[in-house]
Amino acid sequence: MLTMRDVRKVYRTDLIETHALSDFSLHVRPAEFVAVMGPSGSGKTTFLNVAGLLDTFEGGTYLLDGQDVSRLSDDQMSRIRNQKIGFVFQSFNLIPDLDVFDNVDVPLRYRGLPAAERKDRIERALGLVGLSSRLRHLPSQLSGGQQQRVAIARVLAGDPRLILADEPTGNLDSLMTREILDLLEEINGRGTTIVMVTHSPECAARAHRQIHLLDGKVVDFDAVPTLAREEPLAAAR
Amino acid sequence: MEMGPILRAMRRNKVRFGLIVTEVALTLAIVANCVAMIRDARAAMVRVSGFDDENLVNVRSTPFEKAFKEDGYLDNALDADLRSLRSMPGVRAATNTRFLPWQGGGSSTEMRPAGTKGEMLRTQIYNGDEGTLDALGVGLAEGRNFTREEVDRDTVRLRELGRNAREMGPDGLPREKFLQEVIITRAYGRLAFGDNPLLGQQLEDSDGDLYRVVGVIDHFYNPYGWPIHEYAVFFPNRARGYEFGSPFLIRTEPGQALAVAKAVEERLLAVNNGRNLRVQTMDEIKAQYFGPQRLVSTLMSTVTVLLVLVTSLGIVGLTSFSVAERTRQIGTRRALGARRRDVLQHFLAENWIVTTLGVAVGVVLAFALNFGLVTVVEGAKLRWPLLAAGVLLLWLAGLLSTLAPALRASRISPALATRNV
Repeated sequence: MLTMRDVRKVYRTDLIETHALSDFSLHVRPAEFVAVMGPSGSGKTTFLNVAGLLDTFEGGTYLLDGQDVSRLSDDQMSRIRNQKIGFVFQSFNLIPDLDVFDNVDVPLRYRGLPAAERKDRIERALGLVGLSSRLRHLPSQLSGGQQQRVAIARVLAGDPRLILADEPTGNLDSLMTREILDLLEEINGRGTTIVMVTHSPECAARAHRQIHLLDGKVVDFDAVPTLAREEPLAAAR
Repeated sequence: MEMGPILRAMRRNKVRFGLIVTEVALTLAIVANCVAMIRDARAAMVRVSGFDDENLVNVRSTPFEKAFKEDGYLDNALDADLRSLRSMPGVRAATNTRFLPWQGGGSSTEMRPAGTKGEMLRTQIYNGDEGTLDALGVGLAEGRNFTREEVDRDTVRLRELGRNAREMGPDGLPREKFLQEVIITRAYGRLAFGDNPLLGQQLEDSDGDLYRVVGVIDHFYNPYGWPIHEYAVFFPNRARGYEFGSPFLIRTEPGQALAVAKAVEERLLAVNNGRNLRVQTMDEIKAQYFGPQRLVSTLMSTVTVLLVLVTSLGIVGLTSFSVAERTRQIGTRRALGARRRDVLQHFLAENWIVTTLGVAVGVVLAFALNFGLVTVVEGAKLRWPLLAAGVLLLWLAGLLSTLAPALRASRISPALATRNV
């Protein structure tokens, strides 16, 4: 589903260069549920941005669903994000001025789907996350867990091949966290690939596989016991 | 295009968008009316009087020598002045009349068709001599000009009439009626007599004195306080006196007005230096008359430009604020698949809706304001094409004002979506 080989990403300022990803390689199989962990600054967000085509990268190759996405135009990347990738963000990233229905509708409109199909998809997706009765509620009228479920409905409505989740339970209490993880597991169970960036070992434990990053590289968990173990624990407290 | 969600989102930010809608509406209402008034003023400035304005020179002779108090001396001096003026190089014609175009006024009276009990009809009225029409550069459309004899005769008769109290009849009007030949404008003739032939028709004034039409001129426009700009009656008489002096209108050869104006004072003082002279070309008189209108026009143009500028800046401000406030949101939209042009279109559409609502309200406001102006201060009537131009202007201003911040928004990276604030 997702194959990165020797991907490099460097952030430059006038004074310094930061190698956010160095010779980064990773393979995620279709329908896999992978948790990406690592201490702050290890390159998790950069990996997510590159994997989600939110950011470009300097070197290496990246195959997404079998397609080389290394040298795509901005419009092509937008189309792939819209059609193949679903994002779940830590802060939900709902549009505050749009109600639940319109929020879920946002990526579908960019896809240019007809109104009737969009309506059908939105209602079905909101039904799956249990929010059919909140169509005209604004995000501010929902709890954090409900907002994240709307964000997941937004992903579901688009029926993506890959879901990239960035700390999806980072702003939720433990009950809500379980609910959202159950939901993600359920979605994964239907064959959607999920890559979830998280600090939480509990969340990571729900994934099929855990990947640890350090200094912009995938590292073996057992090879760096101290840092890799302490950091997630500290974050989970 | 996601018009529905944009509209629904705007409804949730009523104050912010409402202020810009109001600003656009007020701008359109004020700008449209300002432009209507500017156009009206400009149209008045290029209005053709029917006279040879470019080549007219006005001379006002005001005596201080006591000798001018005597009628005979005045008459002789007037004749000498006219002879001298008519023989001046570059002069085509000269006349003694109190009619002076482009003063914004003159003298007026009320008349009606003789023997009728209808409404009295106000008209401008001026004395003239046998050379007045020629000096103005106006041709007779019908009838004849005044003769020298008529002018001499009526000058004496009118002088006598002024000296002696008239005997009144039981109706409170002078018993003996006075009859004069007059030349009238066609517009006034139509007003008084409709489509009937004008020559030979008689008018009467409030004293019952009669005026027989012997000549008709077609083109006459002299702005007046009342809306009688095209109505005029000329009667034969000399205009001279010790207190009010003697006014002359000179028509020069084409392009000679300035040269004649410079030479005329020396010429007339050589004839008689017991008076003061004031010489003005018609261009100067017109410039004085249109001075306030030109100033108001300039001020209104400035106000118009400033208003459009302020409104545009308001739109720039609103859009810039929206972009700054929604940076993360734009990043999210980009992450969800929005292309740069989708973001650009989003802001342009949002602004288009605001501007359109503004101009819709503005159209109603503009007509309401215009109704008030036309009713209260005789403002210019607002016409649809002008308003349509105003709508286009504001649409364009709105579009251009939104473009820079909207382009900035379209360049926001989708990676901003994952940045936790």
